[in-house]
Amino acid sequence: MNDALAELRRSAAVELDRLDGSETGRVEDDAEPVDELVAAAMLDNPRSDTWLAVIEELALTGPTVDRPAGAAATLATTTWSAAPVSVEQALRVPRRDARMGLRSAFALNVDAADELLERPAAALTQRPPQAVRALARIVGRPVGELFADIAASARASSGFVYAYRPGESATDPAASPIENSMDALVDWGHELLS
Amino acid sequence: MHEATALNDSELARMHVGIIAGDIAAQQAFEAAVRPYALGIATRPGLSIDDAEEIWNDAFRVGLERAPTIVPLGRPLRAYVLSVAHAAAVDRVRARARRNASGLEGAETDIDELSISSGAMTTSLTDAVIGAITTCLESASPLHREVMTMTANGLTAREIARITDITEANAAKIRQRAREWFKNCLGGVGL
Repeated sequence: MNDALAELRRSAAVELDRLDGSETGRVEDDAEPVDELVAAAMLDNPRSDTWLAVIEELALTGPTVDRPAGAAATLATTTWSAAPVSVEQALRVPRRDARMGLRSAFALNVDAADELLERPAAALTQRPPQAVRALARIVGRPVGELFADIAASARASSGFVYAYRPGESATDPAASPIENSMDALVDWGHELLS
Repeated sequence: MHEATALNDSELARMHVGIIAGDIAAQQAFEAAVRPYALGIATRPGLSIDDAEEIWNDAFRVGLERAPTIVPLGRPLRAYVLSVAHAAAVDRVRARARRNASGLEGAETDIDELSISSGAMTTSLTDAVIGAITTCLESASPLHREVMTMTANGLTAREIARITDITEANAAKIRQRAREWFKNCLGGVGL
């Protein structure tokens, strides 16, 4: 983000060079209102890299308000769903495409791919992150959103990812659970998203 | 120094992944690291701390919802949430100013109803105008676009000067040129 700020500063310097350097100019009244529609249009989509750098700079160099921590994190977490999402649901493409994606990414036959489609999405954590990234690319699912579904599935399984067992539905508990702590999930996700 | 600035890139990246994974500890760490700045930036336009708290809660939730999209793109989640908080604060200040200008203070129920109905009536009109404005924004130079964005978001010439590392007088000059360019462009598209 420093690059974005640096570029903005370079642009400002270039523009000033174009202007008469000796002219001091009148400092405009800051109270001059910006047309509401202009503001609305800009507030609608102000999140360029440069704007994010600007707002971060303003926040980090401006006054902070340090009050006892609120409950936003806890509140947000309790409102998050932890639905038992299956692999098929997590991929969000027609079953035929999902099957093809699994076969390509994991080198599975049709039957194995179909069985995996019914598994909880958390089962994908048993696969190498690189292969899951390839799967996301093949089916056109944003990898961050796929990971969010996988994580939701893992949370629905109380942090456990169940070992593969043919014929099992997405929501059934299974024998031989493989413990998958949040740390392990985050490590796997870190590799997936990096 | 706050924790937010002390975290290195790797720690931040891991925290972001934890947020997507629904790791409560990561979410709480993010909240602790970003909240003081968000409250600071939300109170900056003159809002009360209670208003800022509400804005922070909303911005935080938006950040969590958008994290799966933003984080893999390498965009900074902290800046995104701060941006949401800032925009919400500016929106709230503008809404209050409009209410005050309309002399509707103190009639909260009526105000809400009026806001809803007037919003519905003007939507189609403003959509067309906003479209034209967006067209001009896209054709503006990056500098003019950013300066106009800063202005629309309520930044003063002094703040723009500090951000762009120029004098306040020069910031005002550039802002004036950006405004003139923008007005000309709007005239060119029939507004």
